[in-house]
Amino acid sequence: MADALRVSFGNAPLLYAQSIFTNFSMNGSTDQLETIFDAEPGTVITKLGVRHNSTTGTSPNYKLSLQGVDSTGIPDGTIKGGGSPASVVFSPSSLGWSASTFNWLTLDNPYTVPEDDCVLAHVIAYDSGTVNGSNFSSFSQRASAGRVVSFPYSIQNDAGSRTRSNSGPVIFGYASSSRAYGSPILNFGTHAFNSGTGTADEYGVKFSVPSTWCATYKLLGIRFPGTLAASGSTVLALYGGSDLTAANSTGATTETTSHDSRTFDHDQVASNSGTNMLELLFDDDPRPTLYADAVYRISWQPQNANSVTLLYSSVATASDWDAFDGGQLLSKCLRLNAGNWSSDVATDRIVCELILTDITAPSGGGGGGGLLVNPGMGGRLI
Amino acid sequence: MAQVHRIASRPNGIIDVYTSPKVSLEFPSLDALRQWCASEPTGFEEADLKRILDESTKDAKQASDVATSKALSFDAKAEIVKVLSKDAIKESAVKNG
Repeated sequence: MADALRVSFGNAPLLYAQSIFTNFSMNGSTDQLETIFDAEPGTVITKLGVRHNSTTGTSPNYKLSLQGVDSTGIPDGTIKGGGSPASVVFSPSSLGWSASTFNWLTLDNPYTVPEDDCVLAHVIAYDSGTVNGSNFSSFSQRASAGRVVSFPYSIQNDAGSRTRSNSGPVIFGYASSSRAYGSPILNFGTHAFNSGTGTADEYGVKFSVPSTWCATYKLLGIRFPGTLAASGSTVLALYGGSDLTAANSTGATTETTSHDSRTFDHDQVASNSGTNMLELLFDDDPRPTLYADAVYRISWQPQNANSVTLLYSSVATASDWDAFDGGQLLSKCLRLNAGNWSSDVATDRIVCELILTDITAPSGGGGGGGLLVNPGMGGRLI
Repeated sequence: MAQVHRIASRPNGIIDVYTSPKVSLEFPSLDALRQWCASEPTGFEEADLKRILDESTKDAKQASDVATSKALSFDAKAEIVKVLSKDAIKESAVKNG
């Protein structure tokens, strides 16, 4: 049976961003912040989300809406839904929004994304009230990142003068009644830590792969952006309970047994400065078999005072992770001095992809589904 | 060349660097600004950063134009411009001090 070889889980590239937001101040009556994106066909959109940077004075009323996109790539000015418009009027001041928060707004009317017409515009526009240089709100357009992103993309519409941006991930959201979509990021940040860091000297990713995807798998390695200080070394470790079965690896904070590890020399890199993508493999042979529905942790544990810097992303509420690869199956964990794991941070994720291999079909059905099924058995790639 | 319009810090430590009257870069902390500046060899001294923050107001509503501060040296302004010459930063007029 063909091996899946490598399946990446966690999508680090699209979450790889610096903790710097570009924000657009909408202090004119004809200003708009426009995000052009693909919506999943069949989705019944009931909410749209925006990241509020700040409000100066008292905000006017703004209108948030879904619009079509014309052939030049800008909003066509027509709010979806016709007589039942997919829009909502809001005022950050009236809603009491704090600065630097991600907020969801319920549309006055839901909108069902049709097939073959899924390119939409998420548009914030002035609606009514006093708007000027002393009374306005600013909203986050995108985050600064080391890679360019050409779609989805955002447009600053400054009184009719539009400027597109491809630098970094756009920040916006849309949601159905049951899950979030888009890129509803609240913040990006970094954790710089070493063996002597007093609050946490080990950070990691808590993860699980559900039994609807596979029965067993193995962890080949990880891919992540970070900085490894010169002359240091870090132990990458895979933790679980007394054994790796789902019965005994449940994600409890007391599960601190290392089942696989690799010590990585920080000087075996091209650069110790700046944020770089790294792909590191576990070096045991054979690799341990991991089980669906079991909960594990992978961590970085610096071995001396020379630090590791990892990137993390956070959302306003854990369910917002459903907009990203892996959903709520991955989250941030941390501990100090090799003790029990601290309470897991469900709203945060260390920016990291897990590289899975040797994936076996789910129990009870070969060819009926799963993460990856041998093509000869008529399954599908999820 | 990119230019700085205004810099303001909030009581919670967030720093907004305005590259035009309408576009700002939001840094979660001085450390984040420092790390971003250090990500390229700009020669931007940490002392300049501290002086910039000392000159900025603590309340965004009362933010003044740091670039016009008489206490801010021309060299520091030049360093800000150099550091902020990064992708997608828009040009803007710097008010003369």
